[in-house]
Amino acid sequence: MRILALAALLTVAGGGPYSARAEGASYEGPSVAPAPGRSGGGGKIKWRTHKGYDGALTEARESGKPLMLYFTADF
Amino acid sequence: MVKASESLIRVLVDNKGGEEIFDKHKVERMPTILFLDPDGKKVDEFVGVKPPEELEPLLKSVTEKFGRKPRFHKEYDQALDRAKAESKPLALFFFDAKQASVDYAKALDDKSLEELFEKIVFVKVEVKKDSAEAKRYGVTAPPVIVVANPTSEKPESNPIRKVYGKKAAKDIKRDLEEALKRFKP
Repeated sequence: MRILALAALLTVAGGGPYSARAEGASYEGPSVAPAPGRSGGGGKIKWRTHKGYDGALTEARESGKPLMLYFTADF
Repeated sequence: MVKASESLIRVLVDNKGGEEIFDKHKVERMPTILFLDPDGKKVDEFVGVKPPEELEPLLKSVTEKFGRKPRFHKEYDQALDRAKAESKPLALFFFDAKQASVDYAKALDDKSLEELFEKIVFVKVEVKKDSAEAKRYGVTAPPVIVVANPTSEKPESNPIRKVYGKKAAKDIKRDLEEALKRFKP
């Protein structure tokens, strides 16, 4: 299942590893949709890791910004 | 698309370390993207991969539908400009790292205060040695909320009210409501 998911991601995302720079923590990994690294131009999407989840909820509430949670496999 | 994504708070949750978050949101398939409103309520989701050209309009749509004005501003000038533009009082929440400030912030998070965040523009100001706003408003002992009139020439010179710490949410609410009544734009 995990292998299939990975294969599907790489196929759609065009293959090859991507990296995502997280805010407050680091994440390096292969592509994940919406594909950190396959951003449609203008640089890479920056992500927090799960460790920043609680802080993200607080920041969303205070800043008025919605949240986007991206659930993926740890490759 | 990167710019569109910046209007949302973004969290990458992997299945090694982030299991609790998977469980909390009942996510069983990967990849899954969940969109939550600023209060943490799920508003949309999709499973699978979307190319950037499809994802970008979705990000914009979620931001437009569910984004709202900040509950707390981080920048004083930005908050002052908004308070002036909307003819609302400006409340500066001066805090530091001590427990009293943590307790005060917790009291401010009480649901009974929710509607006051619509009527007053709040800004958080961390009190440090070089904090210009703390000096300007003469604050040396946080936590305190200083309610000011943003339309006056020097909002700091004649605050509407100062609401000091160690108060329950209901007392803070009462004091802020009094400040609202005294506010004349």
